[in-house]
Amino acid sequence: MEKDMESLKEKFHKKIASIKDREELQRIRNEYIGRKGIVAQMLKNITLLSSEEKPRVGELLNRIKRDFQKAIAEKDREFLTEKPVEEKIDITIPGKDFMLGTIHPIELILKATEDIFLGMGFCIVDGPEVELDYYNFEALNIPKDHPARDDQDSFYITPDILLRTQTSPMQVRIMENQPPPVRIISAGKCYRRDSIDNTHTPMFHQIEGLAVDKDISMADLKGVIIEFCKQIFGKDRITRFRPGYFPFVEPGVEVDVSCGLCKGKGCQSCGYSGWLEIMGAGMVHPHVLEMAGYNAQKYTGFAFGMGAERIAMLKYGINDIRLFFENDLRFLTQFK
Amino acid sequence: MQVSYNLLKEYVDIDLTPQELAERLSMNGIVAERIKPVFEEVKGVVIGKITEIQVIGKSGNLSLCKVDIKSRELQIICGAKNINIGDFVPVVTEGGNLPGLGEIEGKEIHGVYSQGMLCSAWELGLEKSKSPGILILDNNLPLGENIENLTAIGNDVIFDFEIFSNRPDLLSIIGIAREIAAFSCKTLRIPEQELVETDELITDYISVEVEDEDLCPRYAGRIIKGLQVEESPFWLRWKLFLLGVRPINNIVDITNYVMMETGQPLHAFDLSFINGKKIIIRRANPREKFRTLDGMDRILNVDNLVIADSERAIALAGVMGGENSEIKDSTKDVFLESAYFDPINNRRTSSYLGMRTDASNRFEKGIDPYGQVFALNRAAYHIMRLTEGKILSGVIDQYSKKLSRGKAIKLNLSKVAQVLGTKVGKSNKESKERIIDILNRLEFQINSQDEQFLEITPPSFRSDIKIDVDIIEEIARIFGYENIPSTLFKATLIQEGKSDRQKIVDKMRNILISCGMHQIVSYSMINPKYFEWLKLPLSHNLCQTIKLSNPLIQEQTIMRTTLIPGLLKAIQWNVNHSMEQIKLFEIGRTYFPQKDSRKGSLPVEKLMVSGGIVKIGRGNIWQKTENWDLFYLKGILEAFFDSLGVHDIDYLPGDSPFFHPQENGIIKIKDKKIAIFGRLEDDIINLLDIPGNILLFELDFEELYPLIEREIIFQPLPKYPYIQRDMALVIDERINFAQIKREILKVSQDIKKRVELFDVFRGKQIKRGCKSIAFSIFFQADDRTLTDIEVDKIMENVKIRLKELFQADLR
Repeated sequence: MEKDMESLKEKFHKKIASIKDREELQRIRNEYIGRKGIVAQMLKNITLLSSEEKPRVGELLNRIKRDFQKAIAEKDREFLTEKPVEEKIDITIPGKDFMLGTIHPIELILKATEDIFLGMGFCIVDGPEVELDYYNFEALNIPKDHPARDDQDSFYITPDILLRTQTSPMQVRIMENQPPPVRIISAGKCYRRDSIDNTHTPMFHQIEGLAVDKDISMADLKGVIIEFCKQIFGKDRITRFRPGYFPFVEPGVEVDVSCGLCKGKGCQSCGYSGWLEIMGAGMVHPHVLEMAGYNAQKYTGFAFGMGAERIAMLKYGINDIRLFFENDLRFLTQFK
Repeated sequence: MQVSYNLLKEYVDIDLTPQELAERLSMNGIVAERIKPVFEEVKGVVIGKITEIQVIGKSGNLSLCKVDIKSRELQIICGAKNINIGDFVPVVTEGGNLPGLGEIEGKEIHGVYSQGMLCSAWELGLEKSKSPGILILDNNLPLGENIENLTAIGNDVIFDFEIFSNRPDLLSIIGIAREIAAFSCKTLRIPEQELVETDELITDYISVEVEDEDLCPRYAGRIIKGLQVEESPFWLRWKLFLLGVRPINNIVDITNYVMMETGQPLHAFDLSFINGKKIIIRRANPREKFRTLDGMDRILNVDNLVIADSERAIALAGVMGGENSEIKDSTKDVFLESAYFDPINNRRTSSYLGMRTDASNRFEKGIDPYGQVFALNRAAYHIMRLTEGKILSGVIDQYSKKLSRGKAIKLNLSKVAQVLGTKVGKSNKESKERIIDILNRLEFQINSQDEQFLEITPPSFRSDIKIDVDIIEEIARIFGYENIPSTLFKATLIQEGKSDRQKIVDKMRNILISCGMHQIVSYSMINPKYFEWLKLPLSHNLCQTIKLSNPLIQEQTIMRTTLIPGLLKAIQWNVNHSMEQIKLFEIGRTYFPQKDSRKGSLPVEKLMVSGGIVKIGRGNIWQKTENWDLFYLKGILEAFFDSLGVHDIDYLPGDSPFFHPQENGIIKIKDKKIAIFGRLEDDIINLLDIPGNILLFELDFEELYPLIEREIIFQPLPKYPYIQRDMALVIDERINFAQIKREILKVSQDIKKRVELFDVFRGKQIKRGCKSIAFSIFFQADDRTLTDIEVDKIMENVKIRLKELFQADLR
């Protein structure tokens, strides 16, 4: 048996040395180490041997098989690398499509914002989009006939029910349902009766924040907003606070961030001011606290609100708000 | 509020450049939306004097003017009618430049060469809309000089300030100058005037009766007699240009100028048209007709306040005057009105009639209830100076007893530091001094003070100051927001962060994008036409919608009850933009009418998850992309539910009217309908003009949410191998795979079985009305290796069962 093996080896290597192409190599592979090849046959015959010989011969045969495999593989590589071939793997051909989807850019902004505020101990709450006039305006210190209503032309369902024009109604809803301290973020769709152009759509997204406690000041508001701007726009951006007017806060604040394109020097995209308006904020008006049932003598708080589209436009350099709602794949697939 | 740098300087010293001033004001809450040199893009415009005018051309519409520009004489053809020999006019010479018109070239008209152009105010960029006529300049201006270089007029900058609606006091030159004075510690210069009155008493000519004191708490007036209505002198017209107001005639211009200066709207009536020597301020009669001076007929209601004489209305109070009493060229005597009208009522009237005027814009925000007589005297003074008019003796000034100065407000000094998070001075004493200084500069009156409290009365023009935090904002504004430190909360809170529901929504979104789907966001308002296109009967649940009472466009009149219209719109858009593989999803709310009609109850908002896929074209041979058919979509849904932890799902034939009758499914879990899926009907696809099969699903998250399993429990890996057997059956078309599978699983229930379909076949070899269905069954036991004999026996039982129940034959 061992002699047979030796001659088998010799014959095999002779054959291997003389073959000319891969087809012949394949034939030899089948002949010697195929499923029904010579080596396989010999391995089957092992059962006929005594139990002492079995392992030794088995080991020998396996060694021969490995030897043959190695020789075939080497030969194959020779064919592939040295000689001209009909088929060669072109590694530069594109892979098979494996398409992942994408998250809408507004959603990316909402998530990024929520994550930043979650890290500062805020929790996330949702509220109705179809809202009572009371929560959208009156409880926010904007009674009927208030001039501030001019800036927020609303879609009404009935005289008392409208599509919320801002996420601020959540401030009151939360305070009505929860004693202080409060620290929340609420994001979602809002609606204003604005004709569509490159900076207006009748639907948009807002992100609202509210913090109320015994000892909250404008300094805290500044700290939180500066942190947010750094995280969302980058550490090199400067945040500026100046007076603003919103009936539900007092003092009122407008927040600007330095223009990223011109680094605050002034360019076309920031209207040559060096600054970009990003949000409205302020200290919660005592009337709002009181209407929600809080003791305005004891508690103070701050609130802020911003447009997600505006943030996305500034962050990604998008110049037309309508793109967000056209849902063009060439647009959507840019945000990964 | 438009105003110029030089105009402001008449009222306060300014040592900042226009840019610095704008920057500083924005930090005080007054943002310049626009800053521009008074002559922007104006080049080569010189002062010229018209020396000769000669009509040319057949129509007689053109004149040839000789214009002296000191260095030479130009001949210029002009179409305007308001020019006279001797007039000083702005002339743009050849090669000069005008905003909007660009470079000006000489050209030949009617065989005459015109060496430039005479300019109107609009052409020089001084007016926003075109007006006829050349701008006639002051005869004192130096001939031949470039207009943009003249220090008197050319060297100025125009600001357009955005004024918050709570600061109507800033809708005036004096208001803005007062702010500048406050932050720069300068003195505000308010002009004083000395009036010369005649011996005639005003009360002999007019009496005023206020019927509704609540709507008109103050009414003041003066009479000037013997004046001449004419064009205003250049200096006045020039100021109006700087303020963005179009000059009309001297009387109207004066009232407009004083309004812009003081913030107090004025109105001038032609005295000769006031009947019965009487002014009555009353509510309009029901459906009272009134023609305003813009020539429009208005139908009034009883909430509208009018100024009337003994016979009829002559003005719509605080909004616009009447045509019947307006100032005309022939007017000789005027009654000047300066009033305070109730802001809320004024706002209602102007929005009811759809009329916003400079006057109503100020009244509705609340003007100074103590500024009437000052403005009145200021206007009378200008009329006296500019015309030969004589001011009658006395002022009418009727006011309600309810008209009171602002209430005193108590300010706790420690609250200032508490709200701002900082003291405004180093010590309490210094803080208090600084606060008092700031308030004094803003003309707040300190009535009394002690260690802890100040009692403050705000000035009468600051109707926005009502409570202590309003005063704190004033302190913060002048102190500077930039000087407030930034801190992070002292206390830490333990909050729950995201709710379980929010986490699940995040997870759903992630699953869908890993299925290759792109998230879209579409409008919540849709076109009801979609229901028709989707063949939904009016009685269908999805057609019970919430309607907008004041929609903006036809496309968006109702609130969506399904996300499918938005998906179809997005698919259409992408197909139209040559996209071939479209896989979209939306997670968004739908809106349904409220169930109970109690006051304060709101419509129902339900979160839906919907998706649509379509592949256009042949695809790509190299990519060997799959066919996107119903079962491709179902594969996505199965993966979705599996990843979400939702089990025991039944996919059943559905009846959605917009899906193909057979490729139409519903998804139930525990007998609850969760979702629909299917292929859009061919008619609808044709209607949308999309050359491909659109597959859609829509899932009701509110129903799904409670069914999601959150706990993951580890299942031990099987210890023993499985045995696989294949089976192919010829079976009646009406028997579905789910039925077959259910019956197979019933056989030998102690052995674990998994049934996997691998082929469905119909063809010649198969009996009509039947299909061949082939599947593998995998057998496995927890406690032993199954033997072939055991499995063969089960297979035999399966065969018998399927034969008995479904007449299924082995193939």
